[in-house]
Amino acid sequence: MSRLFKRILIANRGEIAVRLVRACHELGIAAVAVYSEVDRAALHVLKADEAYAIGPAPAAESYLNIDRILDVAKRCGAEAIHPGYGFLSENEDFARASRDAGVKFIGPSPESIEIMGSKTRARQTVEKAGVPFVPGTSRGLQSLAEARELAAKFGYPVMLKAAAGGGGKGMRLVANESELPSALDSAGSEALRAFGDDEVYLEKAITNPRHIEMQILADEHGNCVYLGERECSIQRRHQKVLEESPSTALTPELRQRMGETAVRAAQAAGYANAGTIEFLFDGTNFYFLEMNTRLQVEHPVTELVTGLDLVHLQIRIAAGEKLPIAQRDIAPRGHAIECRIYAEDPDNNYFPSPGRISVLNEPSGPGIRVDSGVYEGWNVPMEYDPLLAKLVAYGGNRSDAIGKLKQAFSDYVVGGVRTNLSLFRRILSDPDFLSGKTDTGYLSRLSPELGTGRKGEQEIAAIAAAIFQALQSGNTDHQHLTESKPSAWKLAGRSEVVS
Amino acid sequence: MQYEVSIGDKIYRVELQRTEDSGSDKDVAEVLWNIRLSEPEIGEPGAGEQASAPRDIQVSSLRVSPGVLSLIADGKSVEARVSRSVETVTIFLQGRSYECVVRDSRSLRSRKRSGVNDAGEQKVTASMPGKIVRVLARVGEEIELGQGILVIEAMKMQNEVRAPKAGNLKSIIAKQGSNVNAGEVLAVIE
Repeated sequence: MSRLFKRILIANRGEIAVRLVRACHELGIAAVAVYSEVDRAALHVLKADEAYAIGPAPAAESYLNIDRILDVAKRCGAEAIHPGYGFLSENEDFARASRDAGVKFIGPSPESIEIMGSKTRARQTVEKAGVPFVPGTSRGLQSLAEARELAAKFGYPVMLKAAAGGGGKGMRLVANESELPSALDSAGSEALRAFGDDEVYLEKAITNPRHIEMQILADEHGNCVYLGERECSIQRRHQKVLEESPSTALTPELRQRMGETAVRAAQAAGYANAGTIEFLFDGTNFYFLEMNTRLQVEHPVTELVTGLDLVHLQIRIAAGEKLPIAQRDIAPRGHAIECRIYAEDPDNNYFPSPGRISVLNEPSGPGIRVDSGVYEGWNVPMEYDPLLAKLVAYGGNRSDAIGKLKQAFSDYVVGGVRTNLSLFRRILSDPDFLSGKTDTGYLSRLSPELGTGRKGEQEIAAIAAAIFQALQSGNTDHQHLTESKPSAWKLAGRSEVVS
Repeated sequence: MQYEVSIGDKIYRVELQRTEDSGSDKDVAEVLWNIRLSEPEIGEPGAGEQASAPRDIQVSSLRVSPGVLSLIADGKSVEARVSRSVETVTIFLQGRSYECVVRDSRSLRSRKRSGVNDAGEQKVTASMPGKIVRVLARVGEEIELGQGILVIEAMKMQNEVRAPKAGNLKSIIAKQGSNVNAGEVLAVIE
């Protein structure tokens, strides 16, 4: 076994930074945190062995500041950098600058990131490896006439997408030919504003597909395996809310085909380290969507069903080790489901809710894993992503995992900020979810009435509130009721005696 | 003691009385209560007296820690947690949260007299902390109900703060680019 790193800088914050600090400690590696001005009290800073300030609250001046972060790495003698997800994790300039500075970037090469970062380049690269695509163009549209011709060929509805895109920007669903000119125009100008690039391409639209992704792991010696899929169809604003493995929609044959396709796609890009290939699945066929060249938020789901620690393996791969497992050794067992706990209001258009966490009770127990980045009394800053924690349950099968989640949510309390905890109670009692019928349109159909407490529980809440108030006011007199009429208790007592 | 607890559009009247067997020993955290729970009808003036049939319940409460109560009523056991803010008390039961406004019997009377009032000044407050990124209305402008007044941003999301009533925009207190806290007054409509 080659020597692992002595010291790793974690260029991230929140729950993933805490998870990475833990992984470093488990491997006997010192963990270095960086933090912005508003994150001095953040959990990852408290848990790390060393911590360095890197600038003001706005991410552009701190967590996205390549020079600052590399400067800290050099000063503290970090041999490697783990970028987590988001921030600089898929930034090829950062990967390249780290390499030039002699600090190992725990992730793929800048060349692989660059290929997969452009949707059209990714498509051109993996198409050669026989990876299936949603029927469409792999190059930017040159003219309206071309768009018209292609749309007619694939059949409406079609989707226009920005080549440099993500997060739904520069994306337009076009139902028929009359909508095409204005949609092409606005998609192009939105893409230009958002990404500085107006390249737009066209695809056949697949309405309410499933979103299924395949985890791969590749070492720097040409070995690559797939670790099974994650079903990520439950999304709001194109962001995932709940993920599970295995997917209820895949057969073993489809799983193997999807896995082998993912490995081919990764190898076509010369990929090393952990990565994820996202697919759209229409019930029969799957199509390449994009590759995420980093650790995913939902990686714990795969860890629970495979028994592998993806962060440990990422670090070992970056240190030059060969994959310790072959494809035949990988046999996922049981079922895992992850719920992303966001500081946001599901009843108010998922609007974020930063602020002080006044009460926190995180669940625990058999089969329950909580990857959390917060603690009671901490102030959730308004500058960053609202993800507070991830609750992951593991059971022998899907209904066991759901039962464990329901139990865990009955213990989960977050006070002071609004959270989406109630949303999961609705999902977990929804017949469609229970029978595995989920697609990307799922949340918009979910009934707001599900999972609410019984009427009796509201009465108990009223009583509890009154008792808290009474105990708080410190009024210990045996005070009589304010009404002058005979005490209700005496009346009730009498009627009981009489009857 | 008597409290009115509002949860959503429901109002519960809770009359509490410590029983004789508890409360004398201050070291014992358990308190036994006789509780009368009723749900006064709301809406029509005077209907407040026609409360739905009150129910009498005996409850044992045990303070587990400052924010945690164990309640046992009629053999049923529940754990209740509390989170307080300036105006509300949030009760968590089985992981579900209930936002309560608790008023004692004295403030009750004054509230009844003032009633719900649509006339006069109304403050526009920030529902959550954030940064004011845009001001959409001008001081002195006639504002319609639901019209956007300001845009507040938090966690990369923008949200319009809308007028809670129609009227004249008397003042805008929040400045573009400034950070505001939840509950802070942003503007006043007359």
